[in-house]
Amino acid sequence: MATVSRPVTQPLSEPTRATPNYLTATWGLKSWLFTVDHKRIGILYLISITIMFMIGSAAASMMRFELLTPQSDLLSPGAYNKTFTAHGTVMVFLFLVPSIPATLGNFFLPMMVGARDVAFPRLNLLSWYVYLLGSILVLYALFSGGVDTGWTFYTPLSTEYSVTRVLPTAVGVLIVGFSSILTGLNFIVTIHKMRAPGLGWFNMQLFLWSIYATSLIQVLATPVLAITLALVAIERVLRVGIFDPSLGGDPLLFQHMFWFYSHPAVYIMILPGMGVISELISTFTRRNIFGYKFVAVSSVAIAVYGFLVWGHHLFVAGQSVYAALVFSVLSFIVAIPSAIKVFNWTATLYKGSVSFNTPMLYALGFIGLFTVGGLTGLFLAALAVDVPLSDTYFVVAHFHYVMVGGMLLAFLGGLHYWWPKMTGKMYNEFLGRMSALIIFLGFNLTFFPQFIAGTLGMNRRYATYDPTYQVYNVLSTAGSTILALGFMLPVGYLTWSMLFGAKAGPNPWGSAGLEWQTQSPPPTENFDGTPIIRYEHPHTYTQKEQVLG
Amino acid sequence: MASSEHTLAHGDESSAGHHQIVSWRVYAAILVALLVLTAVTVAVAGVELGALNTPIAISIAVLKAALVMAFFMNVRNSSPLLRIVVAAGFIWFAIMIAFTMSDFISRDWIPNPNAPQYPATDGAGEAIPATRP
Amino acid sequence: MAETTHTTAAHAADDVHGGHHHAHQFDSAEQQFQTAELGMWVFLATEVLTFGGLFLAYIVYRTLYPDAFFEASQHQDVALGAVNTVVLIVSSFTMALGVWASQMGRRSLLMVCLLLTIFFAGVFMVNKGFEYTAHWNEHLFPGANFRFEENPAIEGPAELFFFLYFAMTGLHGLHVTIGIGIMLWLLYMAYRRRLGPSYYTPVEVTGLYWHFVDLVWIFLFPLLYLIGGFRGF
Repeated sequence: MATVSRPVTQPLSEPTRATPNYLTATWGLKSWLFTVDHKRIGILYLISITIMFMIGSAAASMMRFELLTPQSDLLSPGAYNKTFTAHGTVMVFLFLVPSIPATLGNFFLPMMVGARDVAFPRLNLLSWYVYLLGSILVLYALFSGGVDTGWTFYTPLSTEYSVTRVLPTAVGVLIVGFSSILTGLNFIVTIHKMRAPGLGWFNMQLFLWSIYATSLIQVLATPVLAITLALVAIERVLRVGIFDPSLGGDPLLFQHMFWFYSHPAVYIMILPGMGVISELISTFTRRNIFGYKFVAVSSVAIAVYGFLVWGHHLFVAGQSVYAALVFSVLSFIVAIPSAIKVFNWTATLYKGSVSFNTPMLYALGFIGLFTVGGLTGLFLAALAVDVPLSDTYFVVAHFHYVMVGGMLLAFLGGLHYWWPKMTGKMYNEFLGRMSALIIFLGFNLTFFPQFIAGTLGMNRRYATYDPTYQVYNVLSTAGSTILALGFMLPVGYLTWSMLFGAKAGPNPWGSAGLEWQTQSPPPTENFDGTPIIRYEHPHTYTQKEQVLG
Repeated sequence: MASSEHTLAHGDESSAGHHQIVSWRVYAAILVALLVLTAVTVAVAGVELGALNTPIAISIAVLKAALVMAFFMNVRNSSPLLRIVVAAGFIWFAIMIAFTMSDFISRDWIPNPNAPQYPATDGAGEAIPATRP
Repeated sequence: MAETTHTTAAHAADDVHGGHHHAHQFDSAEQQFQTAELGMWVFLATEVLTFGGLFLAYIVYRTLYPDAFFEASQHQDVALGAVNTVVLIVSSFTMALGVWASQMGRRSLLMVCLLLTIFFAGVFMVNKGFEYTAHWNEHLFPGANFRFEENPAIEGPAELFFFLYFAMTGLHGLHVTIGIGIMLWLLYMAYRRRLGPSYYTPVEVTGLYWHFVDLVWIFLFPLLYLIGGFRGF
């Protein structure tokens, strides 16, 4: 039962000049557009979601500039409604939901289980094309008139009264949902059926646990979103009355069905980030994560439990008070597995051999910002407190802390961590650290004032506001420009590194992860043969490695 | 300790389960059972049993579904993993129904002035007829 | 510590699926079979949730408008619904028999079973066509032309009933149609001698899908046709 020491710096397969990697194995546009290599598909997704992020950010910038003044001067109220809808729809459905699973998950899941590819490679490629189709439809809708219902599509505004492009948006999002389902299905089956010999559930890397938990949610929740949006689309065309009170329908039914998906969706968005953080903390403290089993199981606990709390989005919608009480209690309890993770990460840092590389800066930022976001979520879970805070900027700040301060930071951390493996190049470390700091500072300046503004009563989704809130909005907009700068820097130096960066070895961080035991960039079949796993714990470092780093 | 669950069945671990060939006679028997149950459902539906009609119909449907799953879909001989997948689908469906219905059923237990009224009422408290304008 | 090994065992120990070439990401045909089976079951779980959304809407509105749903369902053709139920159950049987035939290597029987299944599926769709046409002619298709003459007071909830009827049976019918397409492809594969005891994964997996389609209808029939009794054929 002793832990076997591992020569982490030596790859399993010695790269020879003749070994092509997945980037150089074949050439040409067709070889990329018709690839079934999970790594290439991950890169295709990476390019797509980066474009989506830029579009969503552009919408956000317009919102922030409008909100510099209390009047609706830059954007009319109608245009502002379309802008925040575009921001939300693009960021949630086209960026955050696919982000880590479709890019880093696609790239590294098969490698971490020691497989040559996912279970269904062609389905994987289909996922990407379905994602593209849905995204194009959504973008077409947004640019050919826009949608003003908010990304939440509440009825009867969306089904009846809105004169904007609800139908193509709803259909586009529902199509993107299928992409999510197919990816989740692929990952679940891969983890169950294609683990290398000796790789049991409890010596899998924690990134795998979180991707698995995410996939469970994707597979169980997204179909309900699909059917809900289909009903909205049909309602737009047929005017049947399924959600129309004057015909006997109930708008709350829409909200129940919508949030049955959309609350678990926020766990789709955060769980992969948590998995990345586990990998980063473990590598850059040279330790196995403290309480590995707790962290692993808590991922699945979050996935399962997250399905029981959606009613907290309906507290002020007219839901039964009795049901609201139950959802409120459950929403408190769902914080526990997340807190378990935060405590375990922190405990890992204690007496670890910490190095402050760029990915680690993102990981540390995540822990702090996610904690703030999670705790403010508890404020909102308390029924009586939620009533005055509903639809204020407090809510906006809360979810941006978890989604941007949490998920986006984890995504950037993971991107920087695995960049050498994916591209075989190193980026400029100074610029990396600089950007991480700029993003951290810019982010807090953007969103912390929003907590205050929300508590004082500033409404969300309005182009105008009472002048007493202006100071907070000015601070927030100032922060957003710093944040934007922080996001643009990585685009620059990462792209630069692809062309001119220093060549990376197989394992520049000295990590114990299985994906590092092959060359950078990996060959098409990932490993030379099938690895056989003989270790007890996935993130294990010898004494010497811990000391020397 | 290291978990040693081998999932790569290099042929040596093929469980007898799904490769056990089920005889066509079993399928035929289940077919007969399903047809009989269908006849029962239709017959019972013609009998006025008040509030019992629906639960009986659903129970028979559940029984038919169980037969289809156990025998036609071979869940009876399937691995625990597959059974968990089957169960998960239905459990999640049940969660969605139960929690949503908990709202609709309990709306008038505790008076909520903001709750929508059925049938819909206009500003003066008059019921809006549920007709198409 | 991770080591590598060249998987020489790859083709050596296939038993039931012995000799059949498997895709590159798998180490054995047995692994490929189990993976396909699990994949289909996970997909069926997603389908439960998809139809589940419509079942949810049905349960909610039936709870709110029990009388309207009862009255509206009197317009349903119970006989045709019962016939369709029988047709689908028999088609499930012929599909299961087809799986057995492929496991036993009986190619002609497999093709006959597939043809029968397709035939019954077609009968189902034709019956649905009759039903839909009848409803359309009676102004019971939801939308601007919907009229519920015998009781205009419950026209709204009655329209909800018929919307759910068309939505649920429509989604189901879409799945039946896709199933017919898949079975035609299986028929072609069987004709080209690509299916047999060493490789019957597509038949097995299609069987699972088809039985699921039958399962959905088993629930749709009582909910949409037999609400609280009916007044005779």
